[in-house]
Amino acid sequence: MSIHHLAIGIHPLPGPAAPGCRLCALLHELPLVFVAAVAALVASTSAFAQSRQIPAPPQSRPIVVAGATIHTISGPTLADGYVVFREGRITDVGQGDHPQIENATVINAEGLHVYPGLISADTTLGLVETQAVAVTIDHTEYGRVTPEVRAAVAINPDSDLIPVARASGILTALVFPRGGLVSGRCSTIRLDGWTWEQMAIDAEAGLVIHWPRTEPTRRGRADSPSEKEQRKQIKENLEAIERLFDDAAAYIQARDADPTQSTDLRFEAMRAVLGGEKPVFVRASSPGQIESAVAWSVRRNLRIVIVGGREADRAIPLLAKHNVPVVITGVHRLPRQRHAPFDSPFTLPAKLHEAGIRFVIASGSSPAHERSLSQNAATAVAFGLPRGAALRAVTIGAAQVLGLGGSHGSIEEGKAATLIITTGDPLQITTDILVAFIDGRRIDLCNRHKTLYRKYREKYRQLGLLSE
Amino acid sequence: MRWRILSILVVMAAAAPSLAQTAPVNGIRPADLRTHAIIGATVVVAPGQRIENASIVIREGVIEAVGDDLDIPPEARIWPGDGMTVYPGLIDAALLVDVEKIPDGAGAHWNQRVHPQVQMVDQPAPDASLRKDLRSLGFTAAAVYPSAGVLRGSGVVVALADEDEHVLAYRERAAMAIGFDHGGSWSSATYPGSLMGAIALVRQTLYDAQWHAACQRVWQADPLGHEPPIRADALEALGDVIRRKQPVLFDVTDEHNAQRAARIAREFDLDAMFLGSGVEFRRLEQVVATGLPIIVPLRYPDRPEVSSPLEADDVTLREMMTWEQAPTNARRLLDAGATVALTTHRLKKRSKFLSALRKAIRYGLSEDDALAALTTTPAKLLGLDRIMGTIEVGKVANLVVVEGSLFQRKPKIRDTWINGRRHEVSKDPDLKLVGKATLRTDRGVEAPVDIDTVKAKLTLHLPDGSKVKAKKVVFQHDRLSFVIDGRVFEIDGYVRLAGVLTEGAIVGAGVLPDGEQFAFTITPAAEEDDEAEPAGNENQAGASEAEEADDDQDDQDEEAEKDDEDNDEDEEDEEEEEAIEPPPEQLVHPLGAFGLTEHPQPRSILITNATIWTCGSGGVIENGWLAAVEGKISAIGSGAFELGGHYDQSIDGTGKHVTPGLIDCHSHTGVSGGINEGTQAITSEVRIGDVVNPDDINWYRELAGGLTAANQLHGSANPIGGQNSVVKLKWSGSADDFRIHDAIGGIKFALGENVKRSRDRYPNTRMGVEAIIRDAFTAAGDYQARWDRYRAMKEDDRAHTMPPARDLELDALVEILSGQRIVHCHSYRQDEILMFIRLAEEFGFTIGTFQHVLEGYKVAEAIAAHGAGASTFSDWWAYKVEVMDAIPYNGTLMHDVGVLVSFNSDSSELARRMNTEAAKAVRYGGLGEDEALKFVTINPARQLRIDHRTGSLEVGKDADFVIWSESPLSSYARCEQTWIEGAKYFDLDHDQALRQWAEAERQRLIQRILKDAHGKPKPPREPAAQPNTQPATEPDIKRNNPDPPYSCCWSQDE
Repeated sequence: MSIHHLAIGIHPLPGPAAPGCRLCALLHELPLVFVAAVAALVASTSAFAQSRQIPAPPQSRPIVVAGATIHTISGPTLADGYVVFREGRITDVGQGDHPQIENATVINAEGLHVYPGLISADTTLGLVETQAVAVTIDHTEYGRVTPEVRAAVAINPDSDLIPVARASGILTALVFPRGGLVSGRCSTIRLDGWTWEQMAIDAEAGLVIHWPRTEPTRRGRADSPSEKEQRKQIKENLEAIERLFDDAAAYIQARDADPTQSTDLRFEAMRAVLGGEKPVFVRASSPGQIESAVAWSVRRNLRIVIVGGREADRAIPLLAKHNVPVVITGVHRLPRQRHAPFDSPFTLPAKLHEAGIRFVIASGSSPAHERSLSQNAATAVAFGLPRGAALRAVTIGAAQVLGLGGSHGSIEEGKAATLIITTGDPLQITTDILVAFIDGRRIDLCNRHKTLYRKYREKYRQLGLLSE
Repeated sequence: MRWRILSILVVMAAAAPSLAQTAPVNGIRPADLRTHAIIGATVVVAPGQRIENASIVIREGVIEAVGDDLDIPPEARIWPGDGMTVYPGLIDAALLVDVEKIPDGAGAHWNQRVHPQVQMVDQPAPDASLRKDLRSLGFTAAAVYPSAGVLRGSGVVVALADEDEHVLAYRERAAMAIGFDHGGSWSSATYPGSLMGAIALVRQTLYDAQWHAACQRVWQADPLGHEPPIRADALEALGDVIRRKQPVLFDVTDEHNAQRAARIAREFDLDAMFLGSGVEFRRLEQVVATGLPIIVPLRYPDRPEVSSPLEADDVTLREMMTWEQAPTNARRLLDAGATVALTTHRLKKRSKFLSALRKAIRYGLSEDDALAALTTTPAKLLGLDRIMGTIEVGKVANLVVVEGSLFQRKPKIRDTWINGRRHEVSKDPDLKLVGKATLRTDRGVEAPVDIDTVKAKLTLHLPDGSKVKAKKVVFQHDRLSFVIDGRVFEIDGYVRLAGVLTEGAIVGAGVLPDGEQFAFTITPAAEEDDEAEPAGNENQAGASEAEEADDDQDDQDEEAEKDDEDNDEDEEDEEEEEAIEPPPEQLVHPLGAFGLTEHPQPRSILITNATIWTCGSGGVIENGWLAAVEGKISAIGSGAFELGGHYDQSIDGTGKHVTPGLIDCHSHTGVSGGINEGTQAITSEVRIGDVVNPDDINWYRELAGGLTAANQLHGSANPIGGQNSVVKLKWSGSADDFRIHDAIGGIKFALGENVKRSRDRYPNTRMGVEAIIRDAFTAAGDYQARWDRYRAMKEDDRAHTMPPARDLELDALVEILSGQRIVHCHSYRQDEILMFIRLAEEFGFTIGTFQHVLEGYKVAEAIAAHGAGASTFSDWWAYKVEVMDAIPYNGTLMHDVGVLVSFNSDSSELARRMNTEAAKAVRYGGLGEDEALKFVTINPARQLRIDHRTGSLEVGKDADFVIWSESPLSSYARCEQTWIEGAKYFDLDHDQALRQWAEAERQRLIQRILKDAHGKPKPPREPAAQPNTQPATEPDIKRNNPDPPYSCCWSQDE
């Protein structure tokens, strides 16, 4: 029987044979011995002396995380608990002495916490590198109706932004195409892989529609179109969506009946949505947009998710009646109106929670700042959302809305071993994410920031300005 | 045409012969009757002084006599005044008109918005149609100014006569018009591109004018040995302004700009007045405190559209309150002691002026005050009170004759008299037949009719009770014709009739369909009674009120058709029927949601049992107490509080954390009119301090996150930007209240991508950034040397030497060089950071802070050695190329190497949670929690040199503190109270009261707006009990209770 006790550092974890990232050890200057033990573990596998992190190979031997508080999310929190996973899947979750498993790696995580990986439910991660440089942006296709495009195929696996998001515990994401009326199809991804194919969980997770304005704006701009013109535009936009779905349905019926019917890639891309297999993610913020979108989905018998949801609290009755989930894109926003309470964006999650609406919290930030996800959730807690609900909103709740409810978002037998080991509550800024697994693969938590940090600490060591 | 100039002296010489006509007459010279008498009228000699049944004798354009016992000269032409009221002619104190040609070429100012040499007296006279429009409102004279530019030119006061040759100038040169026009965007091609730039341009130009005058003095005293002063028509034109010999009219578009203009007026000791905005009441106290007269437009905002609940979301409470209160503006200003004149300017439709005036009166303005604001006050403001403004002997015969009262609903202006010449505005037709009458024909037809020859309407009543309307009714002078359905005559076809009005009746002939003729008469019904009033009289006997209302409705419809955009003022008629519900008298500041009725005042306060993060020598005190008296921290300690003494308020801080008020070292909150003057590479003359907007709602939101002070910075569009403003968030106070008066001045510099982005100006590279900053400091050094030499001269020599020109741009740089102004330098890359350090060292000054400084961690040792602070983002990166190497460890690493570090927001949203920004220094780099909190408290205070008064909790410092629900570094912490200088500016409970009040006000105002638009709704048929749709737990919002809750909140404190 060979059990690898990583806490005492006998074996390096399976993973890239890279020199240890001493930087990462520095990053975890926590005073407690057990943390230091894990830190040593971190050090043993992180990429070093290169600006790109190395994707991890598939899990090759069983891993046991032991002695930790296991926050299962879907079930009770287990003090002094353990999680066992093999071949990327969780096989055992329990309390007390962990099972002795042949050839397993045991991680002593005493005093630490295990959570499912956080899920970023509304992002363009991988599609944008540098916002100010247009050529690094790949989220908005030409044309107003482009259902044929898929986010996954344009995700840059070597984006420097991905390891930064990962280092804050975000391991799964829903990546959106943007713009137009029908932007394309969004993709669920895992935040590690050599190629976009390896990263993609579902490249066609749903169709993305930007719901048009439903009310004219009266913000007194001299150059804004008249109310009449705006109403005309609103009508045209709403009719365009109806027409598109009518045409798509007619096409599919024709195509299925007559194989000689020539192919239309746009309508083919809508098949799964029209058949009810995939949801429509409707970007809608105002109560008018949300109500209009929900009514439309009911008329057409489509599954929808509201994304954005800035004022979803004012469309609660319809959302509740049709059990429509809402992705709240960002809690850290200014109120839209001068007269709105200063905390109206902060209290939105609590209001939806109280009304029993299913909701997810997304960061609302640019992909470079995806790590603010947990802080957005924390602010919702400060303003009335129960902490448990906030955690669910960035784990299991998000997984369900993304179509990953059976595989992600909680620590449960049979689910993907996509989880994090932390020093504490992952919603607290001061909490560190020490270890992360995606499908049982040990993820390199180093990133561009840590590398540069280490590089320049070295500069000051050389100058004698820093002692270590 | 050119003006005919009428000097005051000429006017005063009332006995002088009439002005000779200069143009030759083609044909026989017309008689020009110049002696008139209006008799038997009510004469309002001056506001508040009225003579009944009085007469006015006018000779040669001047009032010769006025009184109720006059001998009317026999040669006078008589104008009966029965039923008329004669007022002094109205004066519009400020009309802005476009100038056709702006001077350019030699002598012109370099800036196209500076053209004070424009003289309106040289420009074409105001358009004849404009003069007519004004006369029809009772105006007889107006001051006309250029409408566009910054230093715009001198106005002229003109007579609003009909004939061009009578449009003479009462004053050739009225005030100098100044406005704050600017291009208004980052990419604005021409300076100024921002409000602060426009203000800076005014300031610099006035200094230039002073300098030019000084040079002229030297030159004129003895030209020998001097180069002649440059030709500068613009500066020349300002000579009398800076000597206070010519007044200045500031065209200000809101209440804040009024205060800004007043600051300029004080700085240069100008004789100033405002052309106001109509919303002065929003900052009444401050506007009135300027002491400057205000020419107030009766411009009321359009009625907000609130019909759809969702669309109403876009309408702020502030907009609704402004709409409701705008008609009280003039009255409030007068009550507060301001000098107020009224103008027709800024009205969407000038023709609505009198109904707007009527509205102001219905909202509390007295008629006497209104008249004074249109006569005596503008006369005085224009320096013409000796000759106009009242009906007194010797004054110009400028009068307005009104049937009834000028201030009644739909006043009937009959004539205006200008320089003793009558201009007819309206009159009722002398010949008319209005009312009930009878149509009779020689064929035996007899039918009652309703006739109105004025409106050309005629309706016949048939025996069966039905009505037949005549078609194509035409009444010309005295002749009536119409077509009528033959069934009146019991025949098929149309019958045509025509007749003449004679002896009160219409007499004429008609033609039947078959061509047969008949005679008819239409005789007034009243004539058949003995009390008959003869037709042709002005009495509208018999017209029923209902019909009148119908007619009004028709008029409105027509008007609506003419201009369907204008829905705002047309329905006043309906409003007039009902008494006005007076709007709330007490206003909140700033106006709108979350405004306060009273500015928070310091109180003595004691907090006990709290965890106190002093951010000073005291460290973090568990179970501590803090006392503050008169705005200052008086004592801090731990354990039981034993000092005793009385405190206005004691707070049990058990479980709470108290920190210093948070400070944001990089804010753009509350800046009016643009944060960038990016039109030039160097704009150190512009000042954020000129454009602080205390009404920005984000101040309140930031207070709710524990922020108490901010460094308001210019943007990063150019290498040397504008001067900063360091403020405390004294919500509800004025811009001046916000200022920290003893904060050392700062200035924004910027390096890198932003400043080299403008393709059409220098610099385009980081190389050019260094070069142009070096050039600017070099120029500043030379400039300083020039002044030093000048000042070192003997007084006698100095009197014969042209002084150097004061240059506000270089002044600011000289202040930097002498250590009196600190540089806050926007920067990203290590190369540019190091470059600027070396440049500063070369010029011998110490940089205040690097802002953003996201690669500061790469050259932290150089920053530390130089002694600059670093104010960085906690963790932003990747939004542009120069921040690809930004890391969240930046702050801690710089700190570890010895740099004074703060975290800033650069965002009104992020500024609401600077406490958790500080927590990122714990997460990234492992800084101790107490040190991390200093990144948003004492460290930015030290960087801004305000640490002597704020930034830490230490005895003697300002009592600026925040009470938190838990550790301020916890992501779950909530700010519960925010105090500045011992006064409470934010409180969660109070916030609840404010939002309930705001919601109640919104609903009240929405109902008011809807009633204003649609009339009062009909009451429910049965006054059945309202279904109670509100859950019982709903807070008790006092609907229709306009009292803002601020004062009551104070009494709720423990």
